[in-house]
Amino acid sequence: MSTVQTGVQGSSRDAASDTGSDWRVRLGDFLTDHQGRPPRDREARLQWARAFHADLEEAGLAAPGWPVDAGGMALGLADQIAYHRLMTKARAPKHPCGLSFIVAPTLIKHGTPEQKARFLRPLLRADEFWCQGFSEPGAGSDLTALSTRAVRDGDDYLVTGQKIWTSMADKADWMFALVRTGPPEPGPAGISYLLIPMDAPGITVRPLRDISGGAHFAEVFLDDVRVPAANLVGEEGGGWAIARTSLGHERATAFLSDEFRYRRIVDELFSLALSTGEADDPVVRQALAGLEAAVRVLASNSRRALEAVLRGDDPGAAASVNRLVKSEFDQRLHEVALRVLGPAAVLGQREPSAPERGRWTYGYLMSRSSTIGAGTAEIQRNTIAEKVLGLPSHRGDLQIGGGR
Amino acid sequence: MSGSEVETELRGAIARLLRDRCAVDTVAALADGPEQWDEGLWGALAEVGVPGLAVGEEHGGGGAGFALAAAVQEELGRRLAPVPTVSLFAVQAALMAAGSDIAERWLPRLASGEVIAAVATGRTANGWGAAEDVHAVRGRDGWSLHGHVPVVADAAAAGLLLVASITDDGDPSLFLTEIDPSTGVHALEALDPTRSLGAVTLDGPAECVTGPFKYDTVLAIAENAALVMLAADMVGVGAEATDLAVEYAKTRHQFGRAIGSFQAISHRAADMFVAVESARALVAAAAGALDEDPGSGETRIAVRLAAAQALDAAVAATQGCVQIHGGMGFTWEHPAHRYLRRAKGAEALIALPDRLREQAVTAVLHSRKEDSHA
Repeated sequence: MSTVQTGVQGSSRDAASDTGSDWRVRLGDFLTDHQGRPPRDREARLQWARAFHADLEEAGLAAPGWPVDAGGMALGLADQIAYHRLMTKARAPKHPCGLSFIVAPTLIKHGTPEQKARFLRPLLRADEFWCQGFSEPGAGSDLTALSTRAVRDGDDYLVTGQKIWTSMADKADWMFALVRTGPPEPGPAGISYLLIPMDAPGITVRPLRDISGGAHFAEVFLDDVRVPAANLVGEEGGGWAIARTSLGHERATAFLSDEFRYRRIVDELFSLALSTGEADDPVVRQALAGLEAAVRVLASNSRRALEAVLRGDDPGAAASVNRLVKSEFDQRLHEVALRVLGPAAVLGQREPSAPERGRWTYGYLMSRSSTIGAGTAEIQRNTIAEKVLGLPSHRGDLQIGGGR
Repeated sequence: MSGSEVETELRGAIARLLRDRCAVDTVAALADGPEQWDEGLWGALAEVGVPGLAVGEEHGGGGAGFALAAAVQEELGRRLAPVPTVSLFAVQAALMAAGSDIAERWLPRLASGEVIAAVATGRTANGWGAAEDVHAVRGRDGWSLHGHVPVVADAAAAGLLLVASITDDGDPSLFLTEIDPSTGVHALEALDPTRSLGAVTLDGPAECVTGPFKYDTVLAIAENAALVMLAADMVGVGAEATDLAVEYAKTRHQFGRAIGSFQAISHRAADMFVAVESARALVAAAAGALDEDPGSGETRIAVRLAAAQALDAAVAATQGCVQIHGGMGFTWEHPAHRYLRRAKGAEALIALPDRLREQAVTAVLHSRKEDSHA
């Protein structure tokens, strides 16, 4: 695939306007102007992050890897790495809707000019939030078993079905969804990629309480929801291929900003271990060394995956490896963190005396999803075994389901 | 050519040479016979400049650095090549760091492959130290070394030994001494017959490479280089063992299907692959650090994390290779045990992975305390 199509690096932008490190100066100034501690209150913190990213887009400093005509900066690999390092170092707020960056490359690659004009800018500015409607109660690891139906009715589709594990469903303005427009039999044929307005009549969102006690995702019920046919991305029935390319793409590129975040978290864990005295325990020291090695592996793998994308190669192998390493690293990190907390690890995350406001306990619980969401660790191993090592499929001739 | 193109080309050339000169049957025949190492293969490698890869051009080497030497070592590991590069590269690193006249006099002969050098040290919790049963005496005609080193890797091939020894005034120094494999070296039966081991008796003249002042730094650099090369070797061993296991799992059928279609097999293969890939990433970074600043704290950390990961990955992959081959993997005829032996032998050769991780984390915590006091 070409670099332009993936949307990681756009058409060449060697215009004199932004050569060399001009963007660094502008980003440096921007970050200085936007210094400040995040508000304690959750809702205020969300609005603070939204305002930051709206300003960032306004300043032409959003989406370092996107093509210029999509509103990005079209930076090369080294500059993208430098960009994320600067953002992490300044503790800039993450974009409040990470899922937006799964739909965005799909829109850049497959969207109509109208769809790009309508959706990309509000998405970057965090004016509009997105949720993902892929998983269903009967379609998890085997995503092609999905059964939510979209029936054509004049210029619209009527969508009926149920989505589950939908993060941000309560906040999202839009859902990018896979729906069945073809025959009802399970399988990749007849699946379409549709953009559904979350305020449409017939949509019910029911929050699901998760392992931490919070409600981070929801079930979404769709009952004859009317969606304009203009919201179809790509061809009718071509949704499976589109979703798969964007999933692969997400796996290749999403690591870049994670790399610096994990580096910081590991550093914080080392500091915690020194302050609790657990750094003197040989067992803890072995675990800390393991994390230090893993965070370095992640950094190296992300670069390799991204270099492959920028060369125009398929990042498949490096990306699959990284996906598995990252999800298991995230769990290990939090397991070690609880070990480092020592006796305080018995406290719940909301106990006022819990160290660091319960972040490690909460993180531990949430990290159990790292090997489940976005493809279970077992599916990731299937992918590596079958797509990278070329081992025969564990279920005959069928294609790997994958999916989130 | 870019750095990665040079590496790809060099790897390809070495891989082709090894396909002709170092097939697994050749290695097996040599390992099961009286020879301690493959002198003919060494000549072929010397012809293409392998011995001098990491030595600077001013000393008659190729000036390619340890990053490329590590890439070549990975190919050598993949073919179980019975050649003494790990030891030789370590001595070269020490001599380049020492920078003394004696060091500079030996380097060109080590770079050409004409002389092979090995390392004789003791082993402490923090890494290499002075050899325990050796002492250095300063006489009227210069230094001499006396004593016994129970296990020296690649001693059978070596004509020169780098020895860490306490001198008669109580300080440690590094010495070079010529050895004669036919008299002073007693060959040991090795778990891994592709890496010769010998007990060495010393009783003769030696030259002082570096005195107490630079002793710690130079010895640490030698150990860093040895660990990086051993780790690169393990990436090759682990990668080949994974390939063998995967190939077998594709062709061996049971219950009417290829065993590689069972997730118990395919997931183990995926884990082997991921561990080896992760090790390769760390080894590349460590070799780069060695080229950049061979004695820095960061290099010490990078090298030890890489070696621990690579040793663990190679042992896991070679054990997995035996397991996936089932009964075949347990036979003498099948080469699986030769990879396992090379990995398991390497694991114990310099420092065990847990020990390396302990050394790494000590250095990390040390640098953080310094940062917080700065």
